[in-house]
Amino acid sequence: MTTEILTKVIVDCSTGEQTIEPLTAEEIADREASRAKAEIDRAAAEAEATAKAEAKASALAKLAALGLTEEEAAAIAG
Amino acid sequence: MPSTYVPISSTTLSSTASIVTFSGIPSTFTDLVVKMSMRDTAATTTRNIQFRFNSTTTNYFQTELQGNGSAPSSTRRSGATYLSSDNTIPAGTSLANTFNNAEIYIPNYTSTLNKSSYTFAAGEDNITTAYIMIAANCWNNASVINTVSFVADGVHAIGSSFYLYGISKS
Repeated sequence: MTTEILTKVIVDCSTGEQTIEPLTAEEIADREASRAKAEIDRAAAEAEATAKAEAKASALAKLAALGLTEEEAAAIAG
Repeated sequence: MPSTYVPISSTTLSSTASIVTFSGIPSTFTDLVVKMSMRDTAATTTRNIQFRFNSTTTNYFQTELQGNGSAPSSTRRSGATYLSSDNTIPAGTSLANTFNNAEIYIPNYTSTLNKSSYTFAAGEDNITTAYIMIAANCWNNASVINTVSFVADGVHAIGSSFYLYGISKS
């Protein structure tokens, strides 16, 4: 089993030269930390969106139980 | 496209890379634009990318609006370590050969004031949930921007392309 070597492409705009270098240990650590934080943010955003959608569906169901049509309930819920 | 757009540099990846960086950006323009077409190799449907200026990992602020075909959402980042494009990048389990479209516009990049910018990114394929996002960005830093980096959440796929333009007064 081989270990993937993570690389970076650097484009020097002053010379037009492009180089490929392995990531430094610091860059690898930073990358892992950022990925973990991004995953937490993504999960939180998805949980919030799901909670809002479920609350809206519950509200629409209660409005329907009061006798509102689907269109009327949707007009209130927006 | 305005006639003041001047190509500064570009790269299309012929091998995978975790980070793509434009360095040595000249200070001779008023604004910068980066246009990107990206895909990630991670074994998921979508991935994020992190934008950074001058390799700095502090003082990024971002308000983001995102849609995915069902519930819209908004995210606020304060004092973050990067600016995000969130889930707009097709990844390993997305439809083959699909890439996203993204742009970051950076006005007044040579200013000694904080740097505002915006990001627009969209990644569509035939999976059930695809994403579009737009974001208002600020990097609270007085330095002239001379480096822009794009750090993949996974790894940038072969064929991902990055084009940097300068815009003079228009």
